[in-house]
Amino acid sequence: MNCSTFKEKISMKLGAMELDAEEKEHLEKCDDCREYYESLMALESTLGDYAPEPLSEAEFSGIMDRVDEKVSGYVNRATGIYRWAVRYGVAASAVFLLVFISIFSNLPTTENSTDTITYYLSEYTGEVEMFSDSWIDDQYVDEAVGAWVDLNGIGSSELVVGDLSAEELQYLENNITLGGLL
Amino acid sequence: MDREEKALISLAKSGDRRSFDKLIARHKDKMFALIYRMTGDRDEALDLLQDTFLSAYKALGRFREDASFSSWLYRIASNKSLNSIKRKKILSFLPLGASPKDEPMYEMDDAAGRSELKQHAKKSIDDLPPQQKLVFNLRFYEQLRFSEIAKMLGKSESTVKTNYQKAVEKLQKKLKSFR
Repeated sequence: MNCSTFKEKISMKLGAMELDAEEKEHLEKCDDCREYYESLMALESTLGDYAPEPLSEAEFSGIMDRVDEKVSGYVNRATGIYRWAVRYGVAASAVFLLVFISIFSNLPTTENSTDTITYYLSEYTGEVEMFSDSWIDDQYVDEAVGAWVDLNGIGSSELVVGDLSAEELQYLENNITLGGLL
Repeated sequence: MDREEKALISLAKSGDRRSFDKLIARHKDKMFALIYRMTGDRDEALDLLQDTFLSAYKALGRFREDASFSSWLYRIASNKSLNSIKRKKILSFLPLGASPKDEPMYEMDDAAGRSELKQHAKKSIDDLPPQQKLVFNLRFYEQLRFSEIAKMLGKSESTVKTNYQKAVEKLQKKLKSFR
């Protein structure tokens, strides 16, 4: 057995140090390992004395009383109005979730291979934002309109729509009225 | 797991609170010692012990009896302790006024209290990284086998051994300079 194996093996035994015959034999021959072993024994003795003050009966019964209180709370909540509220609350949440999914599942995602995704630096937020051709992006349209209005003022009939796709233009016509802007 | 413990578990699972209390009473000291050594703070250890018992009560139905009840409880107590350490570490970065204690408070018996070396030893254990401290406590103080610790923590035995070895090396280094 070489020294590194010996040291590795006995460091694992700290706390339950029992040397086997091979280890004892090595220990007798090697001063360096004997020193290491003695330092481990000193460590074991130092650390072994650390025993926290045990849990008192009063502390334990206090803990169990509080556990009791909380457990009773669960039991009470499992009955009456609480159970009714939970049951119908869960049902309402499920309906809401279904509606939410059905609305947003119609939106094209970036996984759609026909999408053209453009990244642009928004003048309004100062951040790089993403725009997908086939996804009507309210913010993008609002920004484009806002920028144009800032430049030309409301009432002008010369809205520069070159930056907007036909789909977005249609969206504007259907949804935005800015004092006869369009 | 002895026959009496099995019977208590079975009764506790069927909702018998007295059996649950008896079961907990059998393991309370070991759990408290582990949590106390992990946190170094008596009040915090009492709170975490209460959380451990409450979690055990709620999860008892899911306890599979292929492991011992004490291993299962140790696992809950270990998770509570590690989470608490993590939470304290996060809070220590936030300027929330009351800062966490810099030095853990240890309550010791009179003999230990007199010994500066022992105080230093405890501080050295507390300074270990949480996972190493947990493995060290479970092995050195609770005398669990590496295989048991590995199973309990869901780690490989070699990972557990490496953690233990690193902990021993660090403790040796720290205490060598002190002795």
